Amino acid sequence: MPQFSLRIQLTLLISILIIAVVSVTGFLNLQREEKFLINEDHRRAFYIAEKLANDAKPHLIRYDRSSIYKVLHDIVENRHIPYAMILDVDGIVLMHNKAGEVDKKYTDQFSKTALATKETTMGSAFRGENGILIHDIIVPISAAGIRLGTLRMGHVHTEIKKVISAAKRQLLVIGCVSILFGIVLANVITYFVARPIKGLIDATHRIGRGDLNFEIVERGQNEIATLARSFNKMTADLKRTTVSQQYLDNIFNSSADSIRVISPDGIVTKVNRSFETLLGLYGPDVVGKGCSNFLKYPFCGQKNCFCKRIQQGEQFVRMESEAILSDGRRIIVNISASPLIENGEIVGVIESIQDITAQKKAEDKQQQLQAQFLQAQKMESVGRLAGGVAHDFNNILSVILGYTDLLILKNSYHEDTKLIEIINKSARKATILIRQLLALSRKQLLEVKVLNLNTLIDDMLKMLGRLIGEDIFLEFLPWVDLDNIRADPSQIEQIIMNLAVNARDAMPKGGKLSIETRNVDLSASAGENGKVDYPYTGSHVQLIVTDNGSGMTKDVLENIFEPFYTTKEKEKGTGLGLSTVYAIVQQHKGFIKVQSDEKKGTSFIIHFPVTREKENIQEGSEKDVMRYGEETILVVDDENDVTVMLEDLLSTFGYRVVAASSGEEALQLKQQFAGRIDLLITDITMPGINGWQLARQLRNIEEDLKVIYISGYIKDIKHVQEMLHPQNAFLQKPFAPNALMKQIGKLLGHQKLELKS
Amino acid sequence: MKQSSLLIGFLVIFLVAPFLSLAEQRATQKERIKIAILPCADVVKTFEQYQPLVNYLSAEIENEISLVVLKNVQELSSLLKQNKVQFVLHGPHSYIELARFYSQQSLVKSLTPEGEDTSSALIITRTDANILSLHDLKGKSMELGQTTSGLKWMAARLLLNQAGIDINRDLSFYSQGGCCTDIILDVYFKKFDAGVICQHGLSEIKDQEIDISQIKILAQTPPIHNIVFAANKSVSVDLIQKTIDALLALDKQNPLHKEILHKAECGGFARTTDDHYNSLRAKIKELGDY
Repeated sequence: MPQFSLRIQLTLLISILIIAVVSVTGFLNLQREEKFLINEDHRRAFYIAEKLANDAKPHLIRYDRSSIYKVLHDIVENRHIPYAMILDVDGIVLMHNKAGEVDKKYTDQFSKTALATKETTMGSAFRGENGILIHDIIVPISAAGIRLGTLRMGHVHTEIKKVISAAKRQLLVIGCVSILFGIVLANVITYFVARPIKGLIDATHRIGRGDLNFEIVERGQNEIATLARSFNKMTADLKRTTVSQQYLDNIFNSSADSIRVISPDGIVTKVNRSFETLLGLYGPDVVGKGCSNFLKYPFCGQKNCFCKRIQQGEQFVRMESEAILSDGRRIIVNISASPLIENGEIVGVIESIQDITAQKKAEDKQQQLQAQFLQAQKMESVGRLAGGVAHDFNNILSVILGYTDLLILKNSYHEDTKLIEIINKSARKATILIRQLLALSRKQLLEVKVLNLNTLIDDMLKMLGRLIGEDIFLEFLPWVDLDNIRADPSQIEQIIMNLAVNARDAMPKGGKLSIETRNVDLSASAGENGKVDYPYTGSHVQLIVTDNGSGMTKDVLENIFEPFYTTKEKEKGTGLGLSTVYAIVQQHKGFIKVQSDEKKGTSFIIHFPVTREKENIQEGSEKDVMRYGEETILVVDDENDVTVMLEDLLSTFGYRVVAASSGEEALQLKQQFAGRIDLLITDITMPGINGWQLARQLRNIEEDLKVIYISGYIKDIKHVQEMLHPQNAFLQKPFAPNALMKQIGKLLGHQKLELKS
Repeated sequence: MKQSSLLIGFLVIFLVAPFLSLAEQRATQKERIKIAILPCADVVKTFEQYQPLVNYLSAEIENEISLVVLKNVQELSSLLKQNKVQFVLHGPHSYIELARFYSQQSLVKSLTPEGEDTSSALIITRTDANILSLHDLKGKSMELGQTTSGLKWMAARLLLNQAGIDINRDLSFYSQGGCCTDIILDVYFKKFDAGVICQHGLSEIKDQEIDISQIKILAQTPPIHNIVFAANKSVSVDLIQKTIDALLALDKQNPLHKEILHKAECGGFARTTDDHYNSLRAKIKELGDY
């Protein structure tokens, strides 16, 4: 059904009423008028008939038929009266307006009825020759109680019917005019009735839009004016007692949180400006759409969806979740949801969203930093412990290695040589262990060079093949034109070997070990899609070591770089391999990422900063040969065994050795010693005058004094690196005799001489 | 022979019987008696006035009687000549004119309700008509009765004649009206300056919504005889006797007769003779109506 305005409804209603009233009234009036006219016609006909009878009566008494005929004939000339006759008591026509009917005897039913009628009456009606209905009026004619005869007079309503038809037409015209006038009048009335109502409706719309300052103009004292006053009062009350929709909208839109209202059937019905900003969409594009169209949560459509929880009766839901926006962005949000209640029923859910992605990142960064700090602290502790142990251990190992090497050199074919070599090998293992500990604490001195990883790995492939065994397929995927890096080759080798060993252990039944290098620009990829989060930017070289072994669990993955953490059997691992890798990488200003899937394998992705320096072309390595010399070497070490071992070693190679157990003693010896001191071999860390101070003071005496610093543990590597120059060298205890001899040779410029056996 | 005689006898009876039956039927079929009346005014009123009397006579003489209301004396004369009417009820001046047709033994006169055998007519005018005597009627208009009325025509003319007024000469015009009521109304509404009504005419106007005090009686005519009932000479003596006996038997004390007499506006009937009308006959001659 169509919806009409009040004015049209009223107009229609009043028009219908007018039509109904005019029609019914007209019909009833017409009926009444018709009935009245017909009755009046009958009454007139009765009157005429009775008058006719009365006029005929004296003639009838006198039996004056000619006079009767005149009377009847005169009457019948009237066109309402088609016939008139007088019958005697036997039904014989005494007189008829048609003279030919006189003296006939009428025996028809009409005549019989007429003769039996005792008073003026309307007899039966019948159709005349032309189909017109004729009413038979009967008037008995009596005098002194004697029935003189009976008058029968026909009567038709022809004329009155014409009058009635004319009246109908007239009434129809009047009715139509009345209806038209009524409709116009109704329209005018409804206009005046509907206008103030329309004003009220407009007012409700304006007030509905929040215009509480709007006031309806009141006119008169009628009900509409009363309503308008009430409305104005209500608006004023509203203005006093409530806040405007605009005010609420302002609050709604001013919220920093993204807010939206969701209907019970999951349709977004309202969003605030922050929400539009969050989505990057205009509100009307979002309103009316499904709640997960533009913002999808992992729990959408599930039981734990906050919308369902609210609808199930929870008054407040607070949760943190990842959200996927319509443009593909993933954000972390804090969701607060509460029911929107109207008239005691939940009509929607108000969802307030806080984008905490940045906060989360900051927290992650914080946690990362915290972890790094803890790790650094841990490594510092480990380093301090290692450093403390390493100092003494290295002195001890220096003696052991020194003497065993010396014994091996002196007694190459002695039957105890194998035993000495076992001692020497064990001492070397101990040396590696100590170095790893030092590497963990990053307290070992790096011999940094510009190198290309492809070259280094390529050189290692044969050795790696032997290391991982034949069951594992080794694959090397070098990046063409790989950038150079600055690194200590021995440390990089250490990294690769440690990773290879781990990979081997992860593939006991064989598999594939892949070593790959790549150039990457972290500036281009970092933070682009939020998936990669590198601690450094810029060009890096990636070293990727991948196996398809057993992989690691999440718990294992979280602890693999912990010192002494191992999943291997007790004898197979020390728990220092990956932590050493981590420490070396850190010391090279690189970083490491690990991806591991259980039963699929593990990838270690190590990043090294690129250097634009050219690679140091390795000249052919000098042949490690022992050298003889005649120079005087001052050996200073507070560790007496080391001093003795160095005296023995250097003496073996022809050098004249002056030994001291401290810096002070060394200075005193120099003053007492008349000859020239060509080389100083001194421990750095000594009670009293340390190695640096000693060398400086001795150089004050002999300017071109060459110095080899030795130390089991260096607290300040940076200082060491600064102090080293062409006349200085450093050897980490324990060191092999040939390493010492090579350094001596470098510093003193001796010709290569074969060691005398 | 006997057989032929018997056959002839049956044949005669067969042939004669229908005629005998018809003769018997004719004998039993009594002749319809007609009583003619000359109304002084309205035919219907006259009919209704005398029909009860006719009914009474029919019952009394055991013969069907019909009332024939006539227009004038000429019609009555014609019917009497043709013997188409057996009895006549009419005024004394009509009787005088047609006396030659009647059986002298049949004369019966009607009596007034008071028992008088004569009646007078009244000449009336309006009180404001400035007519104080009969002489004042000269030049005035007047409404008299029909020529069949003894009182309103004959008696009035006699009175006016005595007063020296000739209706054709002295009145501005005159007319012969109907019943008394119509004449009173015509005077009252000044259609005529004066009118003639029966002695009891004013009592009939009581039902009318007029101020009767506006009417005054100017003069009363000398009394003349009431209606005469006479039988045609052709009527059998027996029938005349039965009829006259029936009329004379009417007693106004008898409730049944009283109604009949009241309708006929009379108090009964009494025998009379032709001599009784001689003085009137002489006055009529003076008027020159014969």
